Amino acid sequence: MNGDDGNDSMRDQVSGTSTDQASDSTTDQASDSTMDRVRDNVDRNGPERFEDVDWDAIDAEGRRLTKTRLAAFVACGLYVLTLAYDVLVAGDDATFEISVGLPWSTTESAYVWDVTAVDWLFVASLLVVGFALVPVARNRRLRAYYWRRFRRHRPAVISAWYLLCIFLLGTVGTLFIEPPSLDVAAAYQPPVFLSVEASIPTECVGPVVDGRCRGTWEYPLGTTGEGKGLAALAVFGMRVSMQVGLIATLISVAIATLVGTTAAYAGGWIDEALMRYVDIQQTFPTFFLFLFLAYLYGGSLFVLIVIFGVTGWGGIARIVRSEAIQRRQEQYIAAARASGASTLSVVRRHVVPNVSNSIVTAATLNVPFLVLSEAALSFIGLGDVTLPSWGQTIATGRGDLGTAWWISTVPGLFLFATILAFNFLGDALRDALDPRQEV
Amino acid sequence: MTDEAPLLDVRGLVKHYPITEGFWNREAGRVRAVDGIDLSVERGEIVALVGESGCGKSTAARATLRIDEPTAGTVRFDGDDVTAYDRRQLKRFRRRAQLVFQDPDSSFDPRLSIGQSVAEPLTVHGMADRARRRRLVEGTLERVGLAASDADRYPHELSGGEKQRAALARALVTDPDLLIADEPVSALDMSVQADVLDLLTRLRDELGLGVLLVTHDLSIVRAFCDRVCVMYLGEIVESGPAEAVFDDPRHPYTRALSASVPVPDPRAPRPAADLVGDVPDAAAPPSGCRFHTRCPEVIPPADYDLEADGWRRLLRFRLRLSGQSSDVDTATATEFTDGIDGDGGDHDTPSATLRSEFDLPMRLSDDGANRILDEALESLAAGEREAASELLETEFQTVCERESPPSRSDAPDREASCHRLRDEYEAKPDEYEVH
Repeated sequence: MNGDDGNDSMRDQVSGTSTDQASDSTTDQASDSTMDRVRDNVDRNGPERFEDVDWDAIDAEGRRLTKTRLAAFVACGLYVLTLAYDVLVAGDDATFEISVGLPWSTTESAYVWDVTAVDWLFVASLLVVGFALVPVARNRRLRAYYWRRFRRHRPAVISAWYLLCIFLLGTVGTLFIEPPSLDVAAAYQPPVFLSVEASIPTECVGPVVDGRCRGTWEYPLGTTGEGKGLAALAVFGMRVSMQVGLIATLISVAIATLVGTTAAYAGGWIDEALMRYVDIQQTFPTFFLFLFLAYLYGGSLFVLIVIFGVTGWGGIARIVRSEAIQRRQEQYIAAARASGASTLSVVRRHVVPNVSNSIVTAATLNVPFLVLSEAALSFIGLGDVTLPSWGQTIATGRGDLGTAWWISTVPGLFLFATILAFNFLGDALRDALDPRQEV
Repeated sequence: MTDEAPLLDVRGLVKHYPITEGFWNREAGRVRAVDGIDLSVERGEIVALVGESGCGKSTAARATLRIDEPTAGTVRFDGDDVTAYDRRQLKRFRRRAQLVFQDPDSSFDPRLSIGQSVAEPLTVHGMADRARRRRLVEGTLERVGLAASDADRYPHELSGGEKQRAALARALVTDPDLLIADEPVSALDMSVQADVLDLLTRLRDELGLGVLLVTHDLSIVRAFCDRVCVMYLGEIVESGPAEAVFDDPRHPYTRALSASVPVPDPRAPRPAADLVGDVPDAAAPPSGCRFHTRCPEVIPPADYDLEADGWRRLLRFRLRLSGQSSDVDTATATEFTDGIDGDGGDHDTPSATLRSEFDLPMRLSDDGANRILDEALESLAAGEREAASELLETEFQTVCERESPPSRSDAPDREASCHRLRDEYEAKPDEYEVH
């Protein structure tokens, strides 16, 4: 519709008039006739011009929902409905359990998903992240641009793929894999291709060659002293780590963004009060708060996530605030306000996207911290003992390091790789998301 | 003039910023950035608002559009009182009155493409159809001399001139009636400046836009504007048709401003009295005529027969002494004279020493005045600054600091506020000639 010959000729006309008129802006006759030519030209080519817009009709039309917003509303509604179903109809609301079987099949289906409170939070987090990424996903040029810049960091690309695998295994994979179960007969099996003295496992599942028990594909990464497969444990550990890292970080980021932009925009005593609160919160040891709550309510994963999420946003809020104060002075903010945008939409459209690189960097560095913290708490036995988290598994293998080294090592390696990958990713994202560094 | 109401009519616009201190934000004073200005813009007219940096012209522009809420005054747009608008009406007003900013580099969100930025006003005002927005944006970009494909470029990929064109496109895309351009070209190269201003003039003709051009650059005012309002320290001191105001300025400030426009000829006569010093602090503006502290034509006291140059230097010293002007350093005065008490120095008396130190004439043309100055300088040398200041203040008074000059109109559509315009204070013909 554009860039055709007609428009090009119009542009020539227009640039022609600008010189014409500079010389004789007082002779109305001349400029009028040039103007008519320009106007005729535009009319003939027919694209709607801004003078032709009937603003009263647009005003009368009222607000219309965009597709994205509609989808967001639908998703939100569905979420609330299922949650209500879980709490009210599926019953047993103390444990938040629901079996997502097919409603028409009366028999227990193979897909039994006990949606725990943490799972609910996780789904909500994924929804929020998904919709936050919509503007980037829709803009092909922006997406290609970010990808081009991101691709330069080889380690980060590898990290991203690794994390994607971890994420998919942890979220989707766990729905299909049997949770690791107790099997004393299969205790201390070595990983596949490796062997261990036949006296160490109670009973060797694989072949015994030259007095050494060989690992089998049944337990590719070996088993623990309880006979739980380490591969399954690692996968379920991914789920725990991803949940802790992503949910708590998202809670933190959401609160930090809200508090940071509010402080920056409201200023005055609101700013003062919020930032002094952050000071207090920063000095308050989250670890002891968790100890206290673990003592009172037991160390559930839900409590851990909420504690870390609700108390860990201080640093990010400070970053958001200082960045938002800087951005507020920018003329594009003034321009948006001058064209009638409300403060809320200015914050949403300009301020938040422009501080997002700092948010993303802070968030990606927050995730490994949380994953490590969860592992540490589980390791010292403060976590949920029923959950197969990596820290927990490392702790169970601690006593057997001399004989069955793989029990602590396998989850340890996963933990190490995950933390490293998040750090690489954070660095690369910071570089990729800041167009001002463009040469 | 038609009997129709002007497009924009600003009356008595005031914008004060409170200076707060302490925890409870107690008001300690006010910066009188804009202190009661009147101006109007007709359809199809470019009106310039000129003045030095810090005189409040940008604040006036922003207060007019209610981007900063004005403290007082009325702004009529198309006959309606803008200051009485509610949120809804204000939003509609924003569509019809747009602002173009000074710095093209920071006026575009680096994360949005030019097309998205230009389309933003459309989105804000409820145009939900994406394809339609795109069509309008591309059309508008072409009309300001950019290519339709520039919509997909990012701000850092455009030059300053291109960005300013895109900024014009953003301002125009909602088809406004009024455009306020705040120093739209001062960040651009000279050649690009002319292009952008040509474009602005052409769009004005084409769309019948009323334009308020805020600028400190007088050369563009003459070439591109129909009328001009000269602003000094929050007040408009002179207004009228651009040609007339610069050919025959009524106010000494306008004279000084137009004299300070550089002339590309080193041998051209320089004005005798340039503007001295900076614009005074708007938190404590001078009494009477705000320009009197820097005015080259400030009226001498009637009781003495003072020669113009000697009087100006005397007044400047007096203001320095009383601390009204910003370049006070009276502490050095006593120090200085303390030093000469012993060894005598180049001058015999403290009075003579101080006269040369403070750029005062060695002899004033009036004997009585000369004696009083001597007396004041002696008490200053004795360390009695207050007494010296008081003596000078009671003896050498000028109408310029006592009374605020009323606005006078001596030709249709021309106004100026200066005591010199009153018959009894009219300057002697050769007194302030440019030598």
